[in-house]
Amino acid sequence: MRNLKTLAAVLAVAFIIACSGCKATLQGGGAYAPVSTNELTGEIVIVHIPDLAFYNTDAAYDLAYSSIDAAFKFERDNRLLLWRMSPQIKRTLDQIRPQAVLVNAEYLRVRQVYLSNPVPGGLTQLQAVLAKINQIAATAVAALPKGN
Amino acid sequence: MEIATVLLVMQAVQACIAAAPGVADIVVKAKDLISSLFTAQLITKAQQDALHAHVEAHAALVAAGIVPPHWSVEADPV
Repeated sequence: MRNLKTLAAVLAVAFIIACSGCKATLQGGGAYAPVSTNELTGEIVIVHIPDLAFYNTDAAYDLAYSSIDAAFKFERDNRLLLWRMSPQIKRTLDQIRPQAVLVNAEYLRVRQVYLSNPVPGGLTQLQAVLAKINQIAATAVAALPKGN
Repeated sequence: MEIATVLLVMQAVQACIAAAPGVADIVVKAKDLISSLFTAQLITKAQQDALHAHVEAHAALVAAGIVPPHWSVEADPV
């Protein structure tokens, strides 16, 4: 556990250093870098500035969602076995299941607001909800027995 | 990219690393996300559209009021 925390701390520093030096770019025409074609001249026109921060936020959300989904599904698919191992596993996950449903809906609602009005404040709000989802993902995964 | 964003993304990656063994889909997503953070690669239109469509699919489920059975609290086994 201590090694994992050390690894996480090292990774955090590495992320910060690495991300200050290099940056991915979004290909024009994608959902996060929309373009349109001027019908008169045939020129490609940038509709919105490519939104890499939004792409990364959505990608992190999708990842956290998948982790939560995998943890819930694993418990449900192996419920009897895990219940015999420790009833606490289901009880812990049952405590966070309703929260997960609510926070997931909150993220998608705030995301819709950001999509209709992409201002920096909206992205900050979206990231605040993402932090809650990450917390739920960490709790869900921690509830499962290690080594599965 | 802002440090706060990086830390948020990293939390998600940490959670998925813990959940990932045996769940290939999550491993692939984590790899793509780390690549987009670490390397100056081009995120293709197809990658963007796939992510957008995936998140929109979640939104459609929520809008329809559909909660997957494993996200619901069920009775304890007897």
